[in-house]
Amino acid sequence: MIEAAIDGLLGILTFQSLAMMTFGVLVGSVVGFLPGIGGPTTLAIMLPFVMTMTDPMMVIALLVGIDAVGNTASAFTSILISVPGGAGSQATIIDGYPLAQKGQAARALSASFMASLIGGFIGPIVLIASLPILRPLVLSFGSPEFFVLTLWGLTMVAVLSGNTPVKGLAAGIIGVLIATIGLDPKSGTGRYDFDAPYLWSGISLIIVALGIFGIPEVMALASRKTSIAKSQDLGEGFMEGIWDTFRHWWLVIRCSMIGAWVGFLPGLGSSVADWFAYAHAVQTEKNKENFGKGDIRGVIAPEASNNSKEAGSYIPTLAFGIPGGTSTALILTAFIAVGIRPGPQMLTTQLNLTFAVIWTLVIANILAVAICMALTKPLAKACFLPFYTVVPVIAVFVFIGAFAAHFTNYDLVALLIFSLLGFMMRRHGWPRPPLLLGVVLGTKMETYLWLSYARYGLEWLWRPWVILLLGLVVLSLVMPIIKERRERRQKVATA
Amino acid sequence: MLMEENTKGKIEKILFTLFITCVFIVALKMSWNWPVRAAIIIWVLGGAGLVATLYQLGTDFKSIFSEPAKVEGMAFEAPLPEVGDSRWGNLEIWSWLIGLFVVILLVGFPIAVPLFVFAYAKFYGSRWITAIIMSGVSWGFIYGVFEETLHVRWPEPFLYRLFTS
Amino acid sequence: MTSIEKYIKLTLMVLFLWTLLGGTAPADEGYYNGKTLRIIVTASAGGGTDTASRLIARFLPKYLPGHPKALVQNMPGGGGLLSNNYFYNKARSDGTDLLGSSSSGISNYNRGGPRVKFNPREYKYIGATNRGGSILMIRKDAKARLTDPNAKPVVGGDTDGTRSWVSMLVWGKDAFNWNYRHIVGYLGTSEMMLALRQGELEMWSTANPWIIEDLLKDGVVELIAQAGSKRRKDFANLPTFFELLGDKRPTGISLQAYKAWAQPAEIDKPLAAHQDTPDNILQMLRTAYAKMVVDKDYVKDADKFFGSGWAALDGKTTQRMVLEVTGLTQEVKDHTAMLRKRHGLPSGTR
Repeated sequence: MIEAAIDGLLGILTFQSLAMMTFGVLVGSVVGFLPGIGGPTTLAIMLPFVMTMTDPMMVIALLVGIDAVGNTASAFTSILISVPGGAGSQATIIDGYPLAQKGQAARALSASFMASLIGGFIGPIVLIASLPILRPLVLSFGSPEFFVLTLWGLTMVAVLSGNTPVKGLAAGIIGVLIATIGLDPKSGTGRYDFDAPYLWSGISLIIVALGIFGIPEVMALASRKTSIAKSQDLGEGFMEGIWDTFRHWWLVIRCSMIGAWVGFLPGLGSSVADWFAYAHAVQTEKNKENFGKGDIRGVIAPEASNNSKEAGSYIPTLAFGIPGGTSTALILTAFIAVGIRPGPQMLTTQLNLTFAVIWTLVIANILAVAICMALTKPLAKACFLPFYTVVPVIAVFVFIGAFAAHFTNYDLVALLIFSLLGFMMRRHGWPRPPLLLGVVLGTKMETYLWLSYARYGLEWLWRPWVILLLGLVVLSLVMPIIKERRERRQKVATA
Repeated sequence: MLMEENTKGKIEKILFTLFITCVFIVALKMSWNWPVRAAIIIWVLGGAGLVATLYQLGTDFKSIFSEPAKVEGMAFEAPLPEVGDSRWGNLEIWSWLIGLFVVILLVGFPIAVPLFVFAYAKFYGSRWITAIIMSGVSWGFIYGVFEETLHVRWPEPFLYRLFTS
Repeated sequence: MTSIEKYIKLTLMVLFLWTLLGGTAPADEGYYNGKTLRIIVTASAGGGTDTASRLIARFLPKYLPGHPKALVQNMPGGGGLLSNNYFYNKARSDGTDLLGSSSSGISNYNRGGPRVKFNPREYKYIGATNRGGSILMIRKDAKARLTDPNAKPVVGGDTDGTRSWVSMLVWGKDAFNWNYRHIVGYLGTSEMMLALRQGELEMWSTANPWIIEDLLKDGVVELIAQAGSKRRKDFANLPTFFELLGDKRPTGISLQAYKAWAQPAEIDKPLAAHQDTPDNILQMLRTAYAKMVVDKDYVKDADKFFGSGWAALDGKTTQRMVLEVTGLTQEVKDHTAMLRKRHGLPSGTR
């Protein structure tokens, strides 16, 4: 294995490969900024170019380089302007944007990149350590297990609702209902589509995210007529953000591990990891009053997980040829074009190629973090710019991001509708994160519940992993309550 | 700093909760005749959602007559409108956004975007040079990324259709 | 009022610059000069339909006069309904919009329903990529149960029950009394592949030779039969489904229903132009397509993706085959609907 690791590293460390990787990282970072135009679009554009290459290492360097870093740079828009740059940085908004409003954008950004860097290291390490058990583990997770995992995700609604649990629950369910819009393949029923073909394929997640987070914050900013940062006297905080990450090292490690494991389970998808990590942080950390109002841990947790998950998502792709998402599906296509055949041999005789992917993830991550760190100070100044320069830019970003979903004007209509919903929710104190989580999990939850029932009847409830995971779900619901009671009792005792 | 919540605000809040309740009712009503496999998740979760919003509606109503107890714990949303988050300010930005949308429909993205950026910046007192540079950059972005790299086929602008048909 | 004048001046300037940079076109050298060819793909990025279309997007412009830029736009949803409806009703008929489709569009047309607002019979076909017939397989650990009526039924599944290979299971069940149960609702090929690997699905079918090779190498499955009227080059020893059926082959109305269900797969990945495309442009496209499929680089790449079993159909053949498999009598439609109902498969969309 060590031999394969060195072999893979040497393959990546040639001048051409490094040049390719740097190019990939630059491209990936730029598109990471742009909402809507994420990794998949870029990879699809690169595909014809890649197909003319012959050296597998170069292809790995370029494509994995692009794919690895999108989540790092997307923190910029999430934190600075409350617009999710990609599917992996949605949870970052919850605490990142309030930090920017407090004038601590530089701190939030540097913490996010440091967490990304460490997550990008830990992900591959976790994977290498678990290589021997990955195949059997992936194989033991079927629809019932995935359903319980999505259920676990949904219980996080309780965490994300804060002190308004009833509204949070309703918002989460609205999210699931939004996810049911469109043609239902398993029954041929058109659900809530009002005979409008635009709705047949469902509402794009990115439009919902832009509408309920992006626009309402633009509006608040525009009607406040100040800069994003409400106060300017808190210093730059760049170094503090880095220290924050190390101060919360244990959280970083936990969330990186969550990311790596969510990543390699091919049934969950890329937009879940950051939510899982964020909710985990809120559930387990002490002194949680500040979550949602600008707690640095709320930035560190999702950013550590969304980078470590990248490494994980390559395992099912390489070991079984089963891509976990659109990005990995496109990379798989390119791999086949240059003669890399995914399959069990990727973990045995062709382990060096797997390692080349892992090394690319690590090195690309370092490059991306270096670039982002260098850009942090100048970009963080955006928070201090007058509103009339920031508002139109954000508005245009959001409109273009929404338009990129299907390239039709209906995308903009959908955006405006969800903007109104987000605006009203914000105005009347309805928590928005549960709604987004509902949309993220809705389709998967329904699919896996249906498949579990269709395939196993009620027997699936007795599968060992299901019981174990259900236990964890209950535990994650009960533990915070017990913990809080104990803390309160301690406070009373000391008072 | 938070503003005092007045009765008008409370009624508005109830109306929004009522709206969400209606969404649940309509969603359940529409799914009534669907096959079980298409509707089961809607019935189960939608039912729970309806109960939750009805409860919320009750809480909202009660709060008209009595000051609600201050709730402790974390909140993920600012519970009240912030200072300056005024009705007029909101109407203003809504008109801008809808204006942007209409202009996009009329003349298409590549013209609407730089126009909007320029107009907004200049209207609120930006310097000429800043506004021009900003709209230039936004146009360059649209052109470079969407036209040159992605070769996006924009929906035909309404005015274009009017003059060519 | 001077500031308003300035506004107007500036707007005019921006407009002028825009036309200067984007609005002018170079002199016409070939029909496609300066144009962008858009291939609308009926499935999401990364799958078989997408791969076939992207390959075409890469090579076809080389053989079109004026060498257009090519752009691939994925429009997944509703088993091809969304993209087909869009293409039939909204696409351009000047040869700059093409549809990279799959047999599921045709299957959905045959299945019918109020949401079908397109007619694949009217499209003008440029050609098709046939990857070879689907290979029906069963997990080794489930094989004994297939013929044992007292055991738990063997479970197979797909997305919506319209895939053409499902026909093999329906007729196989009727002919051999297979102890088989079909479930629908999977999100896509990746999910089904994983389900087969871990035993949630026990029977499945795919045309992708690499997937089959891996599954065989890992000892997961055994092959049963292949769809299509001829055996694939790369699976020359595996009987076709009709060979397997022997004297239990369907006849009469049942045969017609089978063909309508199974044969779209022989067209597999058709490439079509809008129904109103003028003949001279269609001819241009068909000629380019014919040249493209013998391009050495194209063949090399197609081999990589589809194995050695793929074949290219020309436009006329594709057109004829589409007309064949879609010209169903009401009797055939009713028979198919009855079969779907009996086997618990979703009927036409509502």
